[in-house]
Amino acid sequence: MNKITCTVNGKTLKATCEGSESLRSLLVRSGYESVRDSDDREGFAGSDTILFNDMPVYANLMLALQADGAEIRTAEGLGDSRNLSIVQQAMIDAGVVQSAYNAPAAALLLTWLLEKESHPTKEQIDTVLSGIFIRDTGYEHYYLAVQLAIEKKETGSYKTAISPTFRDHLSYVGKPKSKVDGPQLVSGEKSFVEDRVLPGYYSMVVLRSPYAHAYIKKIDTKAALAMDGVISIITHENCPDVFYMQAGQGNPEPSPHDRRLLNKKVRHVGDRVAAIVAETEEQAIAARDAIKVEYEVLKPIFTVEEAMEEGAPLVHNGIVEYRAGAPADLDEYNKSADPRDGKVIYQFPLHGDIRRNVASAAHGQIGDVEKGFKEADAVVERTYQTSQIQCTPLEPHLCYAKIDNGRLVVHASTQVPWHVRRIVAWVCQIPENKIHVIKEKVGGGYGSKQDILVEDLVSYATWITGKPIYYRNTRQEEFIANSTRHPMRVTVKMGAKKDGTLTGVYMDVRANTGPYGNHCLTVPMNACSKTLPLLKCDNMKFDVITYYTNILPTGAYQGYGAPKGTYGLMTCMAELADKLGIDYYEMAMKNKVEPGYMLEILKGLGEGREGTVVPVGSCGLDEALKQGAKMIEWGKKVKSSDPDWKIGKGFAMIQQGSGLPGLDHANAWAKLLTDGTFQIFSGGADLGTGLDTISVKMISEAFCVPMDLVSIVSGDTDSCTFDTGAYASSGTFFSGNASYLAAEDLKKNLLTEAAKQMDENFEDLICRAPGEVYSTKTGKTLGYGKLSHDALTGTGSGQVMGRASFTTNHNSIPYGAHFAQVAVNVRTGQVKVQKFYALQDAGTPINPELALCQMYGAALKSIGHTLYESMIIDEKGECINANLTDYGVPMISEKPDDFKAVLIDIDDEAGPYGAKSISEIATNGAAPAIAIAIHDACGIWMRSWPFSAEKILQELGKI
Amino acid sequence: MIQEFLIANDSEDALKLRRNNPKSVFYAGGTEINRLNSTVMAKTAISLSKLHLNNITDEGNSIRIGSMVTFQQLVESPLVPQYLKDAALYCGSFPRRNMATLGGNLALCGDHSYLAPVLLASRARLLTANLTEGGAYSEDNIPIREYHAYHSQFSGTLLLGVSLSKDQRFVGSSRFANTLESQAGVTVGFGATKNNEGVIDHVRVYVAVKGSGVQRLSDVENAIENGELTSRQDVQLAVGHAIEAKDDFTGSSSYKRYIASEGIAQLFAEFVAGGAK
Repeated sequence: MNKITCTVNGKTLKATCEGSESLRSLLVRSGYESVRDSDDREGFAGSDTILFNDMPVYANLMLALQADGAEIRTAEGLGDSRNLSIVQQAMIDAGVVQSAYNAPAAALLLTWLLEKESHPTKEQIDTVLSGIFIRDTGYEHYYLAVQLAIEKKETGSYKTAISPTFRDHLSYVGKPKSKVDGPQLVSGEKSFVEDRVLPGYYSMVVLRSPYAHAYIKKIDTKAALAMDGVISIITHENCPDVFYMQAGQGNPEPSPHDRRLLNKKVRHVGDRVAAIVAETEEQAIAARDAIKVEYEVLKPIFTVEEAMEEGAPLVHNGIVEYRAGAPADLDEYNKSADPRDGKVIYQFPLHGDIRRNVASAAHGQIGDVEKGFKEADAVVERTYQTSQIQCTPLEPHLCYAKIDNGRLVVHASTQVPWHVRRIVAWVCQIPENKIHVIKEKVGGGYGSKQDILVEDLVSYATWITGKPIYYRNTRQEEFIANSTRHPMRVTVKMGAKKDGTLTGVYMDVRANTGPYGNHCLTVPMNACSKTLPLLKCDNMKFDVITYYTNILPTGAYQGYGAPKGTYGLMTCMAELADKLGIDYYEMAMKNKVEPGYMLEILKGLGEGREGTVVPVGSCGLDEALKQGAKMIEWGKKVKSSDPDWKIGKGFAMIQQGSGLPGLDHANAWAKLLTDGTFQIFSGGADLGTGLDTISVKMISEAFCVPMDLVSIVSGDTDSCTFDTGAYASSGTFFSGNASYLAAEDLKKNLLTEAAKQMDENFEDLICRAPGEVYSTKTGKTLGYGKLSHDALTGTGSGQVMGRASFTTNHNSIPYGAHFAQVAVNVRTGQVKVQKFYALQDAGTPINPELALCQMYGAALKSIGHTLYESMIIDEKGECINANLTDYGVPMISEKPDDFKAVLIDIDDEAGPYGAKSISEIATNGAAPAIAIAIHDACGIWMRSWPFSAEKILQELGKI
Repeated sequence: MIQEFLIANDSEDALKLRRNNPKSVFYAGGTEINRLNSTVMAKTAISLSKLHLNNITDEGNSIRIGSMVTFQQLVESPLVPQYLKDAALYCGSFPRRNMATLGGNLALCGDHSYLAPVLLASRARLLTANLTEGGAYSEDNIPIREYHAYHSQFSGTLLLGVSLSKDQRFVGSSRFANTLESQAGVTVGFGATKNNEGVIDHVRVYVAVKGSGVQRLSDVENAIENGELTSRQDVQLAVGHAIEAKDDFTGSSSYKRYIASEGIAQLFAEFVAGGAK
C-alpha cells in the first residue's frame, strides 16, 4: 500500500492505495462520485473526465499513485444542485442535460474551456468535447450552452433565444423552462441506480456461453459453491420452471414466452449459463471460473437465409403452447419437440412456426397490389439490408435489489417499471404486492431499457437469498447480452405511372430476432406500420416474417422497425423516380398523405390484433417537405472544387406514432399539499427526456403556479399508478395526457372545495397567479394554502386530490422530413454529411429545447447507424467488435457540419395541449436521406447498412 | 495489470529499475497500459515523469521532441512540423491527447499506431538510453527504421526522444478508420526528397495495417527511387501488391490493400506535384 496526498477541488486528500488502483476508483471511494465509468477503462466515452493539473484527462486511464502532489478538479467542484454554476445552469437551459450520465463531465470541460477562452470558437468547443460521448442529445446545443453561459457571465442574463416558443396563451407549455431534474443530474449528485447501492451489498456475476448454439450436458458448481464468500449459484437446474420473455410490453405480450431465467440450451454467445452471488465481486468472479460446464455443441445459424433453409438447425424446438387460440393440430406439432429446448408459449397466435425457425409473422393488404403493378408504367423491386445495432446507453444495464420489511425492493434503470414488477413477480412466483420497483434516473435507454434484461435475475437471486445484490453489465456484456436493433432484409416492390403516381407498393420484411423473440412481431411490423401510412396508394400489401437465429439478442431500439422500413420504402421510391426520370421530391409531394386521408392500411397493421382505420389528423408533412427543400436548395447541384469529392442531396419523409392507441394506458394522480403547493404522481417513466418536467408543467399551467411549487414522483410502483411505460413514443402523449387530466381533475376538485369555502358558484371561479382561486363574479380570492389548510381541519372535507386514467384510440401521428447533403470521396469511399436538416411536427412541443436536442441526438444516432455502426460476429457467433471504439459510434467529429432541427408548428387535437411525440421519429430519416444523397453524388445505390467506405468502393467498382 | 508503480529519478535509474524488475514497463502517459484489453502485460510500471522528457526544443538543424511530450503538445507547438501535428490529431479525443505521449505510441509501434508511419517516413532519429551488460549507462542516436526493423530487441531501451531534421523533405500520412475514434484499418506514411535536378531520393513508404503490423515497403521505395514507378497508378499498383493484410472488423484484406495503395499513391502524387515540404 502506498500513501499519496493530492488536492481535489481545493481540498487536501490523503489516501492509501494499491499500485493497481485507478485514479477514478480512488476518487469515487473518496466521495467524488460524479467521476463515472461507462466504458470499463476503454478511454472512449469520457464519463471519467477530470482536470488533472489543469488538463482534461481520463481518470480511468491513470493510476491513483500518479496523483501524488497533483491538483485535481471534478464536477463536484463546480456547484451543487442548490447552487449551480453559470455553465451548469446554461447546460440545463440549453436542453442538453437529459439522460445526463456524462453531463457532469461535460460541465467540467466547458467550465475549463471558458476559463481559458472567454469567447471560444466552435472548433475549440469541438476540441474539448471530442473525447466525450453524447448519445442522447447530439452535440449541437452545447454550442448554445456555451453562448448562454458567456452572456450570463457578461451581462447577467441570456440574450440568445434558447428555442422557438409555442402557444402564446400558455405560460409553461411550449416554453423552454429548466428541466426539473436538471440540477441534480448536471451537478453529479446521487441519481442513478449505482448511487443507491448501500455498503454491505453482495455482487452478482454471470457465467456466459462461449457457444452460439449448444445444450448444457452437465454443469458442476460444487467447487465454486464451496469457495469463500459464495452465497448462491443459480443454473438451469435450480431456477424456477417459469417461461417468460424479457420484452417490456403490454400484457398479454405480442412476443412468445420462450425462455426461463437460465436454459438448458444456450442460443447465443454470451447467453446465461449460471449466475453467481458472492460477498465480493472478486469472489464471484473466482467462483465463476471454477464452474465446470460440458456442452453438446450444435450448428448455429446466423442469417435469415440460413434460418429459412430446409432442414436448418432449429433454434427453438421445444413444446409449443398457446394461452389462447391454440391450433387444432398442436399435439401433432409437438410430437417432434425436444424437451431440452424448453417451451415456447404464445399468449395468442403470432403465426409463428418454430419448426421452421419462424418466431412470428403477419400479412395484410388493401386493394390489389398485382393489379397496381400491372397499371404501372414502371416497377422496381429492391432489397435493402440493415445491420445489428447496439443502443449503447452510457449507463449500462444494472440493478440493485434488497429485501425490506419482507418485500422485494428493486432499484432499476428502466423504461417500464410496471412491466418489471409484473415479470419479476412471475419469475419469483410471488404476488405483485410483495414487490416495490423504484425507477431511478436512467442514464440512457433508447429502447434497450424497455427490456427486463437484468432485473429478472437480480430480483430472483435477492428473493431466494434475502441478500442485497448489485449487478452491472460490463460494456462487453452490453454488446453480447442485451437488446439490439433487429437486422432486417426489406424488399420493396413499387410501381408508378409516368407522372409518379403510385399504383402499387409491396413490402416483404424478413427480420432476424436472434435467440429469443423479444418484440419479434412489433419491431418488424413497425417497418410497415410506420411507413406505408405515409403514402396515398390504393394498392398496398405487406408480408412480415421474423426468424430465430443464433446472433446476439435483439429487442427494442428507438424507432423499432421504422428506421429500417423507412430506409427501404423511401430509397425504393427514389429508385423508382430515377427510373421514371422524374424528380423524387415531386414524386414524394404527389404521393404523400394529407389531413383527412383515410388510412385504410392501418386495418392490417395492429400489433397482434386488427388495427383501427382513422383519417390523417394533424400533419406537418407538407410544411416539413417544403421548408426542408428550401433550406437545402433542392434541385440545385453543388460541385466540389476537389474532383475526388462528389456532392449530392437526399431526403426522406418520416412518421412514427404517439404511443399505441388501444393498447397503452397511463395513470396519474395529484394532490394539493397543506401549504398550497402541489405534488403529482405520474406512472410515466422519465428516461431523461423531460417527462417529469411535462407533468410538472401540467400542474403549473392548470393552477398558474411556478414550477418550483410543484414536485413530482414518477415511475415508483408503490406511490404511483400504473403506466405501460416509456416506449413506442408514448411518454408525452399518454403519460403526459394522464398528468394533464389529473391536473384538470385536481382543478375541478379544488374549485369545488373553493366554491364551498367561499360560498361561491363553481362556474364563477378560476385559478390564477400567484396561486389563488378568484371569483369572476364577486372578486373574492382564496389562496391555495388557506384552502388546503381549511379543507384539512377537523371540519374540512379532506385533502384535495385529482386522478386520471388515459386511454385512446386516436392516432396522433408525428410527421416530418429529413434532408441531407453529403460529400463522397470516390477514391477512398469516405462519406461526409455536410448538411443535415431534421424538420418535424411534434404538435405542441411542451419542452421545445429538450425536443430539439432529442431530434439532434436521434438524427446523429441514425447517421451512426447509416454510416458506421454494426455489430460484427465471426463464424462462431462471437462479437468481434464488442466495445465502443471498435463498434464505431459517432462522436462530435462525425457530426454534420451544418446541422439543424426545426419544429413544424402544428396543433394536435388529442395530445396534451396539442402535443405529439418527438424523438423516436427522428431516427427514421437518415438512412434513406443519405442513401439518396449518395446516389445523387456519385450514381450508386447503397442498399446495405452501414454505408462503409469499403461498401462504397465496392459499389463504385474500385474493389 | 499493473500492481506496482515506481517513479524513476533519472534515465539511468529508470533503466536500472527496468532491469531489476523483469515484468516491468516504462510508463509514460499510461493510456495504452491501463486501457481495457491492453496488450501490455507488465506488473510494474516505471514512471518517467521526473525525467524531464516533456520538452520540444529547437536544436538548430533539427527539432528535438522528448518522449514524454503529449500528442496535444505536438499539436500546439510552433516547432513541430505539420505532418506530425496531423498525425497527432488522428487521436481524436482531446483528453487522450493530453495523456498519450510520443514515446509511448512509438514504443508500442502497434498496428494502428497514430505516429509510427509518419515518423518512419520522416526518417526521424531516435535518442535512446541503455545500460550495458555491465550496467554502464549510455545514450545513442539511431535511425528510426532500425528501431522499427529490430523492434523486439529494443524492449529494454529507454526512448529519450525523437530528432527531426529540418532538411527539405516531403512527409505526409493518411489514416483510414471507420470513425475518428475507431482503430484505423490502415495508416500510411510517405516521405521523400527531390533535388534540384528532380532526382527522387530517400523514399520511405510505411503502412500500418490492422492485424498485420507496421510494414516497410522497401521494394516500392527502391522502385520509386530507381524511376521504375513514376505515376500515381504505378505506385498504387505496386503498393497494393506489396502489402500484407487480413480480414477483420476494420475491413477486408482487399479493402485494406486498396485503401493503403490509394493513400500512398495520393501522397506520392502530392509529392510529385509539390516536391519537398
